[in-house]
Amino acid sequence: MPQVVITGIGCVSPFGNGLNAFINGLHEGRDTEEPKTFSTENYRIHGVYHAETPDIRPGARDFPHALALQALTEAMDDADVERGRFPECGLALASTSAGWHLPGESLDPGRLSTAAEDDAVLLLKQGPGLVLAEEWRLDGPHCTTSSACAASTGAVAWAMERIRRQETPLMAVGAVDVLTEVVFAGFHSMRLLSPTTTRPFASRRSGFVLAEGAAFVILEEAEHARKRGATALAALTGWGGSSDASHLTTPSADGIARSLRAALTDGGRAAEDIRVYHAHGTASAASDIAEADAVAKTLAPAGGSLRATAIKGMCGHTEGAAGLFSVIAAVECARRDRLPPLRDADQMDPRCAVLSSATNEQSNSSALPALVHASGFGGANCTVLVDRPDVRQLESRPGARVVIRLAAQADSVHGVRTTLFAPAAEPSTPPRVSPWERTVAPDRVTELLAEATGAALGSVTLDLAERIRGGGLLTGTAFGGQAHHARMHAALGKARGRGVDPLDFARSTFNVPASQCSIAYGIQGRVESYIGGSAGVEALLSAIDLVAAGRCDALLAAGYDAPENRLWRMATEPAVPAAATVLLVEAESAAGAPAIEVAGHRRLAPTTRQRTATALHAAVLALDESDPVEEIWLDASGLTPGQEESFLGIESRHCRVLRSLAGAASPLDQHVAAMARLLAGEARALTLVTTAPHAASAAIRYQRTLP
Amino acid sequence: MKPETYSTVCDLIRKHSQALAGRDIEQSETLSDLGIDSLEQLSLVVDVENCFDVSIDDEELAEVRTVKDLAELVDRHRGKG
Repeated sequence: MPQVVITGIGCVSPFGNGLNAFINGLHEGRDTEEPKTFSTENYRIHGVYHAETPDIRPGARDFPHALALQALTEAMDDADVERGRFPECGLALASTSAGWHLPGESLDPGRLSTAAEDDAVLLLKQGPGLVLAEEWRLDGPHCTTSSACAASTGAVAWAMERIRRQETPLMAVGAVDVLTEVVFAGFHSMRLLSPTTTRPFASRRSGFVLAEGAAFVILEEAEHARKRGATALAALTGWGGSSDASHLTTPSADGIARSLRAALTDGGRAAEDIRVYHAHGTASAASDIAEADAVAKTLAPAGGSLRATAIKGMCGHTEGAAGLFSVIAAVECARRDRLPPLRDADQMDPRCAVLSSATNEQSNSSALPALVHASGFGGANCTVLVDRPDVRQLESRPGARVVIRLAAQADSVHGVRTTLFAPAAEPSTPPRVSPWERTVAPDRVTELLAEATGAALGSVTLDLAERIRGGGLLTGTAFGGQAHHARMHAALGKARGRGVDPLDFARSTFNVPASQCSIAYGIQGRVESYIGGSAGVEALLSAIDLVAAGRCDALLAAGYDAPENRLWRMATEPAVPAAATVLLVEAESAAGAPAIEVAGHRRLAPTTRQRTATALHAAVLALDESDPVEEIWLDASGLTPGQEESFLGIESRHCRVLRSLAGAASPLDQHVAAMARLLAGEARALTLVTTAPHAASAAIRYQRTLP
Repeated sequence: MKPETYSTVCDLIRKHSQALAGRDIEQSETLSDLGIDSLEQLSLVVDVENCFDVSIDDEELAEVRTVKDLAELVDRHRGKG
């Protein structure tokens, strides 16, 4: 299997500009400050950590973009990658707060339209990624993840898979999160913020200090790095993901343990091999104990202890970016032979005794391999295994052919309908009647996603339902749960510091509909949220790739949205249906007698260069190989009339032009329609090209496997 | 503890659980006894703070066990009880 190494690192952290400042800061710490972009007069908490440079200041209109650009530039310099030299390089970005730094524009539903493209990009969560990919000519695979505080380890995992699956030899993986009042108020309402400082696992811990920053790592295929003379700083040899499936805001030891074990298994390491554990460590009363219990169960079962570090103790909680900052700490502190100790090492909570503090006298070889863990609201977990750069390459694993077994579509007009693409087996799992007794009452998008998920699970055998639960639920959304943010923003407008409902904040996290379905239906496998108009299709692609890679043999992929979550729009954007579409993706060997095979796919970046007729057509031709499909479907939602016309001019075959509605469900519905066409025998093989505004494109080839 | 404080607190509690509609709430019952989970409890505290115009800090909240504890805390903040 292609080995993934890190060849470049860059960041702007609460300690200032650059990697050196970050690493030194992890030992020196810093004081809190009052937020610069809002007043904490009516709050109990007054301290945060800003991230800035002399030229990049909080409050600037393009603040998240500027931070991300600075971090990427440093990482690319470190990796010796010049701008434009490797257009096949992709970009994966994690962010929970980009766009909300302009709350008057992004969170005010009274603001109906914005005309300028530049404005739209500033207001989108995926905006920094779009701009960087364009500016740096990164035309490779592209996504934005937003699974709360697990978002950036999730982005690392996604990028690793792109290299392992030989889609590209290079990936820039970044994260940017900025201090916004709506997030501060949300954490404040949940009483997760500390009035003093962050003391992970300490007896007197009192929550965390909220922080901001941007970080980038350059991931590269090891042989590609060797050939061009780039230095491998570390190897990323494994990743694991899980969903707690237990509570919306309190992490579960069992869920974290499953994620840790999955990373070990993926990276071919035993528990006793791990030298250091880089904790999520948010210093909250319950979650630190859950995490320590998970470590005890998984990494120190003989009752011993494991060296650990928890950098939030020094740099605070940088939200979605936290996981990536921990990965950077794992790599660079090992290289420099300086692992930061746990902040209150002499006053640990006895219930967290499995975690022992690093001392400053460590030999380089003993800080790796390391596990870096992050947990997000709703119980999303994602763990990365960081190893020495010279570690032995892992064996390739047997792949699998991938099929789609069924689609379940739920919308506010038609209710729920299920389309089976494989001969029906007698289902023996009735859908749950009242799935919400274990979690908070759902909002509309969560209800819709749950209806479709329940319909999918209720259409299969008990055995398959169990395998799906172990596989996971990957979702895509364009607008997330932003109606909740709008409510919070309005509450702040009336009474700063008061009136923000923690239930709104909990429901607002983009990964929460998936997490709530995971709780309701016991889905314990990988849960992730991708952001953008084509994000439902990216969820499908990621599910296909996980099955093809042999990581699981069945899981669900979904796209969902509802109009109340679109708070602003471009003047030309179509309507958003309240809808959720769920597809069951399965390994052919496990499926028995399937009907629709995924015979290949290509990802295209959301850059102008990858939006041309030539680029889209090249993707179609690549999927033809020696067996051209009969039909091409083009979802032209993301193309200009000129681009659409150019594509139709190049493509000689019959081409059906579609135009999806806004949101992440409609583009996925086109895929369901394409599969239905094949099922009806109206074609044998078909390639569907999805485009969407401000989003990556994709081409997927489907074909019938039955005569 | 003022009866009207207790009564209002109970009304706010009932908003967080349909199962409690129309039911008497005993002073000695805890929020967990009443089936209100940790996240809903935080939401309830925000409602209490807004309704009574008080600010409850984390140390005080950690001492609250029963519905009576919560009502008495409100009264202390309001200078009564």
